[in-house]
Amino acid sequence: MTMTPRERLLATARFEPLDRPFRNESIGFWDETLVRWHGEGLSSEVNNLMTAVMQMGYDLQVPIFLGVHEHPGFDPLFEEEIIERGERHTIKRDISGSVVKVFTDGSSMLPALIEPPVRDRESWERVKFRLDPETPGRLALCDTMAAFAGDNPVPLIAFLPGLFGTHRHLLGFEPLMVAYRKQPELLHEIARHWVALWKHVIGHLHARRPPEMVFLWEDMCYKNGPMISPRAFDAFMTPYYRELVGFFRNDLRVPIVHVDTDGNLTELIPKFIEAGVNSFWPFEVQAGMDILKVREEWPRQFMIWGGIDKRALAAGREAIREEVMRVVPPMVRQGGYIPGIDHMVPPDVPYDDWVYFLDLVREVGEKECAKSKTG
Amino acid sequence: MGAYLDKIQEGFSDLDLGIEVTPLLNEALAAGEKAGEILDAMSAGLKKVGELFEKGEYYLADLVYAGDLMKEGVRVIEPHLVGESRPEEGTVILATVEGDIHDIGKNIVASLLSGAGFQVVDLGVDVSPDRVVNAVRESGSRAAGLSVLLTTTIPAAAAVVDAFRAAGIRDGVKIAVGGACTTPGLVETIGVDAVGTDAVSAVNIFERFLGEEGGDST
Repeated sequence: MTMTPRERLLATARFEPLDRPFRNESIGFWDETLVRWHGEGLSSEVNNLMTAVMQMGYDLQVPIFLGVHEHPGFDPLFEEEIIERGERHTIKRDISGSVVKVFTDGSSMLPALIEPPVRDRESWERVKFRLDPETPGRLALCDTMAAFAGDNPVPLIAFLPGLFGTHRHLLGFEPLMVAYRKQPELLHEIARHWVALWKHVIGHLHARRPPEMVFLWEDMCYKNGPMISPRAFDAFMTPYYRELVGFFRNDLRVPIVHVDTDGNLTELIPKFIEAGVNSFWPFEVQAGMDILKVREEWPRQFMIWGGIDKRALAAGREAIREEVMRVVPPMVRQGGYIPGIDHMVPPDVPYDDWVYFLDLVREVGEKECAKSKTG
Repeated sequence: MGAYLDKIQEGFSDLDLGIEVTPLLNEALAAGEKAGEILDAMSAGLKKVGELFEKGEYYLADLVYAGDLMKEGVRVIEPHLVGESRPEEGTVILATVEGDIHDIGKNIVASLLSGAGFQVVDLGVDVSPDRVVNAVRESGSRAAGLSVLLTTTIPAAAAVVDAFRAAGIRDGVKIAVGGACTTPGLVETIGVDAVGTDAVSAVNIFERFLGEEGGDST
């Protein structure tokens, strides 16, 4: 029997048998990737994540983006303002209030931070109104998306900035690393506000249409592990994660609370699980993550999404097949897995090879699901 | 070692002590400690931080914090170093490659290298291969460190290696690369001499490079 996208996602999170794996093989594409693919056969109408997802046959879902990697959930956003436009670089204040340097030619290379919106308590007080839980715009967006999802059998997914992500948005990476020792009270104050804000917003959403997943953007790990120590995690994140994730899981009964960590998350897995998190992405192979080993250590505690080495996609079809066969059959067999690459699709991937990858992952995944049913 | 120097070294290595750098160093100077010895104590503390990072006891946040302490300390000490002769480890040219505007990793490496006694010429971000070659020529340095964040900028690191070849000085310069997307295989694929896995390994690499090569060429 064919499952609906909602049933399929929830069954995956519960490690139950599936008609086929949930289809969401990449969370995004570099702008340059789509530009390249337009010259290689992809319709030019496919020019952003949503249109790409529709064209590539991902499982339908209704996302609500409440900030995530672009800003910490501000409403109102800062007005974008060009401060200096050079031939090669432009300096601007972006929607998150950060002064950043970008390439003038519009290249999608991540902006480089020059000055964050928050430096101290005074500047925090100045931006705090943009994170007011009662701001009508944010709640209205939830109303709209909840109504859009309605009774449709598709998962409603709320994308929020996580706590490290929020601290980093507000203070910038290097000042944040220093603030853990020099401004701990400011970080705790922001954390308390983070809990209050998202309890209110997701509570409001839940009353209209319960979400199947809350997705927390953290990006707090890199190739050598977490950026902060487990001790700092305990001090600055655990109490707030317990409170907010506990509210999502226990009070609202949100089935999936998912964290996007990037990098090597091995050391933080037990800490996130203890707080109630039950799904992670992307398990970057280049950072030493091997989801087969992760699954061995954590058989059923959380859903795994990703873990297929994106670098294989640029290395030809043999490498793609080898990587897909390494990961997909054993992971789908064990359940609790959404097949996907371990981050966005980079621009060195030919479009034909991406299509080959999608076809192969889906064929292999479906066969494994069929075997599980008959075997 | 005097009591102040012990306190400085400890404060720069045991990061939980939360020292106030500027008042502490000013007190030490007022008490007659030599600026060079204070700098040595700071460097010894930072070296210990590097060792603890390699052991997995300190994390990236600790390295950044230690680099911040070092920067503040150098600001206080530098004016007092005039006239004191200091042994130097040599000069390292650092750059984020052309097409990349990120400098977090490079800045951490620069702090640790300065703390370890290297002269650092930081060319900034989005640096063309020619500028790296020129900086090496002008400074007489025998070592360059390149920072790359994303796989798409690896060809820009390869272009720097090619530019040294084209200038006929590749054999006289050791080149290391580091950054989120780097792997040991780059030694073979783009022809660099070493790949740093983190900021602490970068210091070890340049100590090896310039130890082997005997410092700068001028």
